Amino acid sequence: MGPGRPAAADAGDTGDAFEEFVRGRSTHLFQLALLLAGQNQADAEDLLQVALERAWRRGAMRYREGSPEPYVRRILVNASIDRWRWLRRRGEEPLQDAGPGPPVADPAGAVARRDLLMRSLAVLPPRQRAVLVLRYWEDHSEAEVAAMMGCSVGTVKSQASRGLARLRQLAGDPAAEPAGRAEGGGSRD
Amino acid sequence: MTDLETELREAMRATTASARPPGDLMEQLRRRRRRHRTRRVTISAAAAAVMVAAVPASLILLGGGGRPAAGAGSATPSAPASATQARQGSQSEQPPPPRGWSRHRDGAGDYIDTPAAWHSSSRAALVEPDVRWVIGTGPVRSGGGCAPTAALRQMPADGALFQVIEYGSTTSPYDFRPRRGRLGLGPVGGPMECWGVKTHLIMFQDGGRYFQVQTVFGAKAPSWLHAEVTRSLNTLHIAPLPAGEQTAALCQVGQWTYCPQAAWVNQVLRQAHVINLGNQVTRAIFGGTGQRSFALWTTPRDGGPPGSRCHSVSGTKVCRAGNRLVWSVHGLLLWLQPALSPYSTPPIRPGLPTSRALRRLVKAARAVRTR
Repeated sequence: MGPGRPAAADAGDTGDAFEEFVRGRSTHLFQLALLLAGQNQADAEDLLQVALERAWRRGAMRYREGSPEPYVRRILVNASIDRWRWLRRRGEEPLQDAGPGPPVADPAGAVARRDLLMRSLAVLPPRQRAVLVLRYWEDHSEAEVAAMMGCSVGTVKSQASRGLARLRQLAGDPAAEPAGRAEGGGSRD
Repeated sequence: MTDLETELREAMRATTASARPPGDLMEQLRRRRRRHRTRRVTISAAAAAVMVAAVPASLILLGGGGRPAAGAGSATPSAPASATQARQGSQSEQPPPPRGWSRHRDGAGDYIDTPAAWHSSSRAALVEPDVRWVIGTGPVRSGGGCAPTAALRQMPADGALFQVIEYGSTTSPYDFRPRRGRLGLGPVGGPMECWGVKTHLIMFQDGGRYFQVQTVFGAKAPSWLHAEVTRSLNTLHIAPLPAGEQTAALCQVGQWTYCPQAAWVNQVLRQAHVINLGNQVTRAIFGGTGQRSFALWTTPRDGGPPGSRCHSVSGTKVCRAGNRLVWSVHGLLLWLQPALSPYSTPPIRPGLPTSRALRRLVKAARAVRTR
């Protein structure tokens, strides 16, 4: 047996550790998958299973000291992009129009606005979407996102910029919205 | 960070806040792994067969070797039938609608009864929140954005129109009071953003789900119609979510904004005339006075308030703990910390409330009873 390889008896421990990792981190990873999959629940479940199963199969716990999360996250991002290549053949779903709202905010308006934004995010090309999700939801720096996606920092910047521009085009500019429209900030009664 | 970036971040957080992976994820992974192994064994066997006996692999696969292992399911199973069945409940247990009334079901176990002559529609452009019913005393034409504008335009002067919507998820569950006793029409406010007119508005939670009802009456609507709409509203039957997905369960797993204490903090803010600036995922609620914003949350009281430099504010001992303020009230510790809400824009900055606002908060916290 080579020095770098674990003993056969370690397999059970590795399985337990992986199970523990899944238990501890699956909610966060599922939420990431959900955003990467454009809020499609079934696709997100599939993506997560693909990523976790691949990591498990390849023994992410064994050859990586510490958490296998970065590895799983990378598979998740790549799988979401691959998946989109397949989905693209089925065509893109059009966005529904939503006009700007009249004077007073109510929660339905705020939620509808959020829904429009998320649906706009869902129709972005997967690389742009992945950059925006990793950058703004996971709060990674541009350099970290670049490392995760295997591209340059410049590419991350340009993808983020294009993604935001497209979002602005699809969902409108929030600066143009009436002040205090955020949940909890507007008049409801 | 631009407004859009902030809004996007908040939208992503709100959208994913309550998303959970399937409960049997590990079991699904095991199945998937078994299936993968079975495929590999099958492919190896087929390849070996081709090489050794020159038998077409297809024949082996046709023999059943290419099928997944017994028990292997789809990677994305549809919603468990039991959950749907549980939500639908037993129809025989449900009371019949009043005489001369009809029942509007939605196929998911929810229903509402109305006088038979009234009209109902559930078609709307909104995806989220979900419009469950638009009900009117006159014909209800489909159409509109986040309000039934087409139906509203057609509403007779002596008629009424109301809409029941459900929030699939909410970032401020504390805004929805638990449904207890009879539902009223709620206060009139507005003009509302979506409707463009003043409406009655109530928001409540029932069975772990979040609802909003808005009602409009025509200028010549008789007063008995108000009672009739209220009566109809109170026939609303909601199929509850499984106990594990209800507010109490979410509170127990540490999602503070689902706890009754968050609803209490929300009421305290209202009473103290402090603006609610949303919440920090599920951990705290943001308040704002003047140009300062801060986070508020509670913890159970375990002894006196921690921290040093305590002083009396309107008769209550308020202590400093680092950059936080904390005091004890109704068996809880109420905490305040400078924090910037994602909804805040300059010149708002993180800061503790002014002495005057703090006095209002202390008094309101004492006056508003916890549930």
